[in-house]
Amino acid sequence: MSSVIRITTLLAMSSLVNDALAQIRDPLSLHGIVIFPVTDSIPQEVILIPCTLDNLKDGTMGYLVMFSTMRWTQHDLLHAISDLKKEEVNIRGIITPYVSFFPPGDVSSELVEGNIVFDKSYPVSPDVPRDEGIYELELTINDTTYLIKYTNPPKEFGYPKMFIADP
Amino acid sequence: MNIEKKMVYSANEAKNIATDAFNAGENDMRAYFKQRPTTSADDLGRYWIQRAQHHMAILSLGRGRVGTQGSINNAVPVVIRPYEFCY
Repeated sequence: MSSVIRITTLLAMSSLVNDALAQIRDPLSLHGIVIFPVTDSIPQEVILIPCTLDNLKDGTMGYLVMFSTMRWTQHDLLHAISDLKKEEVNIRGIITPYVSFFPPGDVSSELVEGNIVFDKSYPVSPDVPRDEGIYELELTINDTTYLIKYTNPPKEFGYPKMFIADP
Repeated sequence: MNIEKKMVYSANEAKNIATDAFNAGENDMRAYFKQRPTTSADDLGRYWIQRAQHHMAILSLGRGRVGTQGSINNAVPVVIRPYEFCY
């Protein structure tokens, strides 16, 4: 009985994902490490580092991706992130000239591997002020510290639409 | 439907266009807020609507409209939903 329920749930979930993906005209799926601030709700921003944990090294470029706006295009976003098993990590040195939900200093954060899907068919509007700076942070995973660079995603990526965590 | 009663986009496509306009509009509003953190909530609300209207005009080829005035067509009442805060 439980397997029947599980299969039905999986089918329902995959149809949700397919529906959301069908809405994206030219998807750009970036797989990588996603760092969340510790929160019970949907965070405003996450950091996406497009590489796996195995080939993470100093100087890898990450992106500060606007996350909370994806709740328009992915209705189960809060469920999709709250049920995840996240690994606890520590980040340090988030220094940005603007208000960010990653405060400066030592911050305990959570790490998940997954995909963030952008829609390349509609690039980010050029008439909105944007920060093009490149910043650095220290990411500590299991006592190993990496120096990571991060910036805003390029405008050509388009607006972020979906988050799919690795199973 | 346009004035010649031809289908321009389906109800589902219209829903997706509206969703994209709101998504892009909120992205722009939050990007603007990060650059100008002293902007008031009222001004940000207006900016969000203005940006959503900008994207709606592009995505719906000038047919759609975003505003706070409700529908022009009274036969289709607007469903009001409370805003859900994000932290």
